[in-house]
Amino acid sequence: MTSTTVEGGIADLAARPSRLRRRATAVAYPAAAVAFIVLLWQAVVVGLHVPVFVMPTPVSVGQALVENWQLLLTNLMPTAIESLLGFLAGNAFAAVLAVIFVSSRSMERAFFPLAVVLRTIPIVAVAPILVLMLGYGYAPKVVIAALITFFPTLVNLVRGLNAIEPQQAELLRVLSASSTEVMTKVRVFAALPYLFAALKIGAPAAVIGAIVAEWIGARSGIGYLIIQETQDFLTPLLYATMIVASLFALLMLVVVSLTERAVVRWDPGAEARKV
Amino acid sequence: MAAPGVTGTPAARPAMRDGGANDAVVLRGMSVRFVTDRGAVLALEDIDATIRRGSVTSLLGPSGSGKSTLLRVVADLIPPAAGSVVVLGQSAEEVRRARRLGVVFQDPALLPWRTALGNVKLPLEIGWHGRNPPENGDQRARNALELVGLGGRLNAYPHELSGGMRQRVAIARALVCEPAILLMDEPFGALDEITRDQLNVELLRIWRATGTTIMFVTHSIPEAIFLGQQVLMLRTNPGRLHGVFDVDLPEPRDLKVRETPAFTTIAAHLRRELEACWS
Repeated sequence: MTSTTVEGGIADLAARPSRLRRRATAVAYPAAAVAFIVLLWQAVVVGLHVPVFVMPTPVSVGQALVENWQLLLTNLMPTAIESLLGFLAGNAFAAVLAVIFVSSRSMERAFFPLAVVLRTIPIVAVAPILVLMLGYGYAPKVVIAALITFFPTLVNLVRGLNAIEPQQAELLRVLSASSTEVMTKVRVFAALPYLFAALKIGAPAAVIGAIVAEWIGARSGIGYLIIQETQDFLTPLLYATMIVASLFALLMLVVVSLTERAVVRWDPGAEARKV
Repeated sequence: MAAPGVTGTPAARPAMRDGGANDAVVLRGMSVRFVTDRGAVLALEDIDATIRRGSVTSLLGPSGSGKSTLLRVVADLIPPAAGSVVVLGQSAEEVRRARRLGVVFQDPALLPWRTALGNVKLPLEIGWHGRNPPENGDQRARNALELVGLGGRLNAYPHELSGGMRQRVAIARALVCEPAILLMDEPFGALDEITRDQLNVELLRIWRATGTTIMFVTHSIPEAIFLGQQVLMLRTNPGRLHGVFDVDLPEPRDLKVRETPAFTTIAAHLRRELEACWS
């Protein structure tokens, strides 16, 4: 009795600092690396007298970020809306198509190759076509962001919805499950880890899609800002814009990851590791 | 020639008769053919067998002798190419649709996103096609988990359970609709020997508590003898019935029975018979 308590206590004491230490090192190491790179960057630019339009110092980028935060935020808004809408639309379309493909082999045979071909068309080539077709508003940007999100989700969902193990399939047959029941009780859940893997690719990609579309023709947005800043040699502000864009993409990624953690509460790898 | 405690001879044909009220499964001239890239392969040929109601029957034989295939025919997972299959006086399909059989595979095939309780409830949620599932589903599922000794782990996810516990959940899931027949395809084949022994004892306890008919596929001679009152032995190329052996051991059985001379004699006898099944 006593020995159990003592052992438990020791185990606890040993576990607690190590967990804390692991957390701390997980933050400290990359932070130290970033600090080192920023310092090196500052030293190189100042030391070699690199002109500011070629490469600004981190300090000047920080200044640009602080001084122009309103400009940056007002231009982030349209890009954020476009990439979010495109992300949602692209995934929704992919989900509907994946369910159709999994339910009907002939539909999959007919349309999956088309989806693959769609994938091979470079986004930069489609963007001007869509701008000509849909004008300078949000529409072409949303479509580009949707296109770029669509494919990974489609492929992963088709795989995930089919990820029923042979003995699970036999069990479902023994239980006389209808195809609707198999879809709603098994396939959808089996596909969730695959879906989130695709969403983590799609979230930052949607932001890239929106920005690329803005390059072709826009009156506001991160992509528009980048073009203007490049033409006017506002290099520190260009760097600041890049930081804002990547922070937004990171935010989308974090939201997807947190949602995954809340939804996929089981261990998706456990099935593969068992026996 | 007849060893003590074991009756029946190789290739002994059971008396030809139609399924009576005491027969759970009656197979007559049953064959199964698989179509592969290299043409049709005869997996089972001309099987005649009768499984008594309320008995435990072990299916023993080398790999490729069609033990699992035979079980799958009874479960209506594979259609026979010829012959008749009568389960509880009905066709295998009727029995499956009426949810009168439960199946446990080597892989527990649990849904990883469902807790133990959620997995056991699955049969109560699907496959009813407009009919009403049994009432008190929650209580039934709890009772089934209690029966397999997992009453305390209702809310555990499969990845939080050991291999043996996962297989117990699979057994509870098979039992939740109170099936008249429980089909088990090497359910303990992937488990370590200690867990396997434990579950063998548990399975006999569950069998005595429920009175269900059990068909149990195994590679292990001791397991086949310990569990079965009857051993169906199959041989390869093509899968044929080699013999039916009655195991006459005192009931209720516990693990100590495996050390008795009667048990050892039966094991030796079955081992010799099994050697004849390889060719």
